[in-house]
Amino acid sequence: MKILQALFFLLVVRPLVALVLGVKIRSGERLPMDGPAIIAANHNSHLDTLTLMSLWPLRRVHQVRPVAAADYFLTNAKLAWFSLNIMHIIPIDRQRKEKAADPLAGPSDALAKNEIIVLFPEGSRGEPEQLSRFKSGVARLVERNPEAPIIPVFMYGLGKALPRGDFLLVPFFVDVVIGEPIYWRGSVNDTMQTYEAAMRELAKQVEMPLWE
Amino acid sequence: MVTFVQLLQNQPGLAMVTNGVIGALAVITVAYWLLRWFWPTQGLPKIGSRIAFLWMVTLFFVLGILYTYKILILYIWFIAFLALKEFFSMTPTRRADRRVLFCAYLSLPIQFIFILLEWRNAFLLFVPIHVFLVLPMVMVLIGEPRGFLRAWSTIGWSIITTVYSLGYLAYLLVLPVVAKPTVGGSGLFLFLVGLAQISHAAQFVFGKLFPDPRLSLKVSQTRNWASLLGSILVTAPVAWFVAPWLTPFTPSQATLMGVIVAAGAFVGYIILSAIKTDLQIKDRGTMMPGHGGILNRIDAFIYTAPLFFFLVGAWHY
Repeated sequence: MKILQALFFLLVVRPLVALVLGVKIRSGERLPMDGPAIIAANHNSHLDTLTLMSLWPLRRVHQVRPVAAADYFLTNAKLAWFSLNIMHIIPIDRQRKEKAADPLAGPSDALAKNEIIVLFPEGSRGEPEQLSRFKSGVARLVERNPEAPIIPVFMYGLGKALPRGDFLLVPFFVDVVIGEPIYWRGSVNDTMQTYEAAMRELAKQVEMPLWE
Repeated sequence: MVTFVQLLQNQPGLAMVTNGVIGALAVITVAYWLLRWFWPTQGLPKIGSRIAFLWMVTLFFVLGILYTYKILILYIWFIAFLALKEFFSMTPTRRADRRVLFCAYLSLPIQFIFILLEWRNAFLLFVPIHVFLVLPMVMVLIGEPRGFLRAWSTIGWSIITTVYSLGYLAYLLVLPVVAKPTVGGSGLFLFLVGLAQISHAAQFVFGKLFPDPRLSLKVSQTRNWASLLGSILVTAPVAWFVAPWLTPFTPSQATLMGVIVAAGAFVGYIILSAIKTDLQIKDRGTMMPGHGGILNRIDAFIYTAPLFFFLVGAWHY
């Protein structure tokens, strides 16, 4: 399946991201090439994951594992096959139907295998191009895996290109700003505050024209 | 495929000037590298990306004259797409207009297919109809009256400055070869692009040489009235000199064209400067694709390409 994934990124994702959209990446050298690491980005569009994963060289894409909601991506058989085999997702249970189950087990295992996790602390795509509240799961993940840094990533443009609830892709240039790694700060609160402050700083580096 | 020897026989002027352009570009590139290498801190104009762009245009131009002009037209289409996307990414847009923007993008394939098919009347009429009739109609049907005029003007202006102007540049290439002297669309294309670059360089140099505040313009720090005058004084003689190799122009037509290209390129530059000041985008030199970098490359053609095309049509085609 590594080959299929690489082909998909080579033939579909990269042409889409490079030609139709066009990504301008700032501080690209901060993108970790080896795990363990947690890429924590803002979430505006289905294209977020594809765009982020296309930033790694093809031979490394299989080490990058997006964390995705099982209730959304695993309900339909075709989407589930695609999500698990091509996108290589780590499914998590957002509703916590079984209270005893550990929701962070999947991501923690991946970090233990030195993989790079991609997750969106906002939880869902929400209103396009607006930061909603970050959920603290990312901080709990670094509490359990203190050797893994959080890499804050701010993205702009994809919510305009393909917002939630729309299927028509309209080309826009995309900005991706990568921040400094953040390690466990001793408490969930402090870690989240550091992350939120970092995201606000990254957002300031992007020129965002009015979009109403 | 035309061999180079055949090209020399059929269109010797075009072949010679193309060689001259490649040589000049090579000299400029090497000189720029050397200057950057030995005096990296000097206030060198940031023309690295412009040089790279000119090499790309030259490469596609050479492919165009050796194989088929369609290659170069497809490249201009791609540049127009990037420029339009850049415009939409930089300017304020309304969420309600996503479908309108999609229709605006559709103007690219339609216009460039008209060019490739050489449907001259359709090519001339399409963009005005699209901008003034189709897009406002689509906007009305979607029905968000608040901010309508501003949104429509932004979208229309974006199409005019990219699809419309670069379309004229591309249409030059399908103009047929006229018998005497043996020059065709490719010669006109090279003439216009070359003069636009020369006038751009002259604008910069004369702006630096005469930084008199009485000559200055509110919208630009690097361009002033001396830039306009100086670029006309440089471009017109060059136009007069190279016209016999590339164009069917008489000496007076060529000189007038030089003046028009210099003035048009200047107006294009300062209008784009005004737009960028309005959008609060600051440093023009370090702009990247997506933030003005592509519009910087094409600003010289916004006015010159349509004017040039119509004058060429009135005089010779």
